[in-house]
Amino acid sequence: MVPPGNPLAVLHLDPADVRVTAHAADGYGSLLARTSQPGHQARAATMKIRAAACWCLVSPARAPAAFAAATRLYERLGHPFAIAAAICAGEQRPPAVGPRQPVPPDERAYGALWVAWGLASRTTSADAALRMLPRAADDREWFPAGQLEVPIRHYLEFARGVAVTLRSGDPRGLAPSLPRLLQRATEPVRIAMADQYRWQALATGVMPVEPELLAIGRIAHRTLAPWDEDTLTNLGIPRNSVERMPLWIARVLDEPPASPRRPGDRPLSWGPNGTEAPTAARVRNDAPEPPATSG
Amino acid sequence: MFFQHILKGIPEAKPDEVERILTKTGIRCNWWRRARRINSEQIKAKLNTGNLYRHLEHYHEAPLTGDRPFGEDTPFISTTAGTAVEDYAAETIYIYDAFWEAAIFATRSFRCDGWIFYGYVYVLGKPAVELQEFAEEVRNVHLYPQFLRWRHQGEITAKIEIPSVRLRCAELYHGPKLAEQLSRGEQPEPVEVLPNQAYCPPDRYTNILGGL
Repeated sequence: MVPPGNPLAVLHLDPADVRVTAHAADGYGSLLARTSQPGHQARAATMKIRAAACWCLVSPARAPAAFAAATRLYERLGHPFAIAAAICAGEQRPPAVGPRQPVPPDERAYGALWVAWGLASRTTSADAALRMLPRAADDREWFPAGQLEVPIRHYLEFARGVAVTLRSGDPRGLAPSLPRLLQRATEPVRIAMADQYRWQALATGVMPVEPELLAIGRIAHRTLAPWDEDTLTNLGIPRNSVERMPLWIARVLDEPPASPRRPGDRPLSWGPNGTEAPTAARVRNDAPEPPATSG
Repeated sequence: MFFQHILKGIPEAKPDEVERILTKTGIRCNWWRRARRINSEQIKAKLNTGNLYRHLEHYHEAPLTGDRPFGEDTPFISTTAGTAVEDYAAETIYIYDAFWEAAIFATRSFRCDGWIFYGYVYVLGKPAVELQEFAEEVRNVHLYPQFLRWRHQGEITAKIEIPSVRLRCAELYHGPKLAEQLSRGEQPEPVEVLPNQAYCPPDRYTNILGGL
């Protein structure tokens, strides 16, 4: 039985392996970023995403810095993936993604995510957002976009759902767009998890927490907050599923350990063995330490 | 035909075994190492698309007619060369680093000692599973769209053996120490480097004609 709210448990990953990979990938990403070769910058960006994805699972407080570093690297490369990384980092300033080489499907998907992020963060009004999002059905909306290759249409419907929910105050405005988007976006994760040997060695091409998935989670969390597990169940998101993982992480990222907790709130983090950890233990986990030497 | 530089991670090999690989045997597939003797007829039977699929997708599973994982009898040898040039040119979101991929396999995700071999294989730019001499670029989405998820590891699949003359050197890494070096942002330093004096660098065999 998977404990509720524990991403490591639903992903079947060993916290010691995730922690050592987070440390190594973060440092190696910095090393690659210091070199001047363009190829190294792209590799550094990927490595920072790998580090950030792992930090989300073992020391969430360290994840935004790694996502921010990745954002700057993708920004310099002119790649719109910087937008997804910036949302994960919690940034409100849009990344300066130049028109060096347009990537149309990705740009439209990330553009919709950015509008939804502004809405959920209350920096864009629902009316303004609905004007920004195209309404007319368009064949190109079925084009797969981004790393997870989710059709653009699902991102657009989710962004509209965020606007409707915030305007009405009714979380049902996110049904069915949120569960559908999460279902599609977690498909590559589930396929990667099927190869247990490589997944548990963190040696698959799919990151344990994909930025596009976490960006959806951060937007949904801010739109729905305060929410509980029943809120997600009522939206049609399966209990204790990979689909819930980005929302669990988003909640921890938005609620730092020092913030006052309301009665009935869930704990802010999870322990190393699938148990939810008290705040004090999490602060200790966030402190720099050498990588684990064995699994 | 192209000479493709590759890295191959092998965990927990003993120094004398590595020395033997570099000076005598080269890297042999698990099937050859297990059977000890193989012949051309058997090789011909083994090199097919079905077995390449099993190597990539069912390495740790026993075939229906077998009693041990396919990986123990595979005629293929997985190596890495990082993200394909075509993918980089197309501004793929993730660009995978060959050293990282090889190190993860060599040290079992930083848990143990492991060797990274540096060498080269021949690739054709098109599928050629039956031809022992040429490695398969399964990382290339244009050649092998069905193996899309192997693109990230920069997988180049060699066959039967990588002869010792094509191996430049082997570097030993201590997994936990490598993780510490990387986490500090330091250039990874091998514990030991074994060069191969008999290495035949590929640039010796390229043809460039000068003008008169």
